[in-house]
Amino acid sequence: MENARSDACGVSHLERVLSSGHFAVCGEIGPPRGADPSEVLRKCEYFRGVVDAVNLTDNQAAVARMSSMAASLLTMQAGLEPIMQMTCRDRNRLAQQSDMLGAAALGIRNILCLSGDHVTLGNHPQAKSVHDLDAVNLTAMMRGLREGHFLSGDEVKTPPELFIGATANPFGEPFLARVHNLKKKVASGAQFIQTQVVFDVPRFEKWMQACRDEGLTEQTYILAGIAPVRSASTLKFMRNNVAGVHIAEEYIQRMSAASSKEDAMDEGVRIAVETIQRVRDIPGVAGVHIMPVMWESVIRRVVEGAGLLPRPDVLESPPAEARSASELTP
Amino acid sequence: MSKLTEKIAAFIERHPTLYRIIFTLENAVKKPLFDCRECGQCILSSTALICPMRCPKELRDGPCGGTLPNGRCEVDPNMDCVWYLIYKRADKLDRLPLLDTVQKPYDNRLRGTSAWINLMAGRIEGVKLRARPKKRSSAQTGTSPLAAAETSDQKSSSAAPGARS
Repeated sequence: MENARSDACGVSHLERVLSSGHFAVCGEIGPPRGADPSEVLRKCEYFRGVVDAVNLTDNQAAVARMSSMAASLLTMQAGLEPIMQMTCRDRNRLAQQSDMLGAAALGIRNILCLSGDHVTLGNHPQAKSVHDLDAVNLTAMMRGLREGHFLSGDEVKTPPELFIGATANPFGEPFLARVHNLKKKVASGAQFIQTQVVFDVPRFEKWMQACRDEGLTEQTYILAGIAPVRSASTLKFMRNNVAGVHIAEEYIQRMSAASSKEDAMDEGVRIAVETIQRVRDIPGVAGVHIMPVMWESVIRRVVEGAGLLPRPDVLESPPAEARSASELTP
Repeated sequence: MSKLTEKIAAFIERHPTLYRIIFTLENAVKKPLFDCRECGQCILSSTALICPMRCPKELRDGPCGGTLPNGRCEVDPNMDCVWYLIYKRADKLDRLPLLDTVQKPYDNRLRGTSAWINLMAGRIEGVKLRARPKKRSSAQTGTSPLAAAETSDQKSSSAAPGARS
């Protein structure tokens, strides 16, 4: 499979971690709703040395914030590798391409393509929702840039070196569409996939099985989404308000059973660690993407608890165990 | 399509009244039947005859991550997710394999024009009658089918502007 794994590598740290067979760990930072860079830098402290790369969201939940590209640059200044998120909601194909080139010029090496939450769900519901391209076409366009041509067919003088990411939601309906969707994204050049948060391991397992049957785990790295939550009410809020999240009743009961705030937080960490360990055992899962919602300080506890520290220094050490890169590359 | 249909399309486009009559006819059929949104580049034949342009994000390549568990749309929970309906109907009609085709990027120049005439003019792809489409070779060849599509579209649709006066 020539899914662009071999070319342009050696630049993105995340790509090196994955291609050398390590189990990758990503974090996530929501840029602030203001112009203060120290907010991003402060959050970076929690992630340094704990994750291989951090996502910088792009106006998540359709709420206006500091731009993903600016926050990515701040993250780099703090010594972390950013994954810049790019939605189809706010930009047309011209803006998307120019941002990809600009990001690459600034040294950003990972971009994640998403459709984006609809504007009506955010704080500017009057806004024009762009959706010029969909996430599948966005992924293909990014591959095109890397291969040296714009979507128009014109030549790109210096193609950007980018590690291309896309998303998947194993829990949405209908199930088959979730597999087809990933198939299309992989065919369009997605090299790594971050999934929606996993709060239903059996369903996730079923989806992974379908992905393996389609041969997708051979062509892309799948990172399972993990969300440590601090209380039962956060979990309920996610279930009721965040589109595309499916939460098994069992977790809500476990969180509700906690007697105190601290107890609930411990339980949240336990659930996250346990989920990481369970998804790690599923064949084809190449890493985890941990999204601590408004609780960045917990990241070390979770990663440490799951036995994923220290993070590999891929320039120095070969993979500690098991899966080698050759095993993945057909 | 063919040289002949291209000539017919060009003739129609030179005559705005004729164009409007045909477009009105097309709308009279497609609006009540498919809730047509006049995208001008119909892909109904590969989406189990349900128009995906009803999706608030106008997604032509499958659902977003926000389909609700009951199959409703995250943007308007009173509405069914159109991709949920498409998959259900495609399953019934045994046309599921068509749904893993990657659609071309939407050409905004064709919005509000007649898909029938665009089809005759060769600007858009024809009807897919077979359940299993030809495999695209994008991943193998390394060149983007999207780029190829856009450039060829540019050539063929150069006659489009002004067609609908």
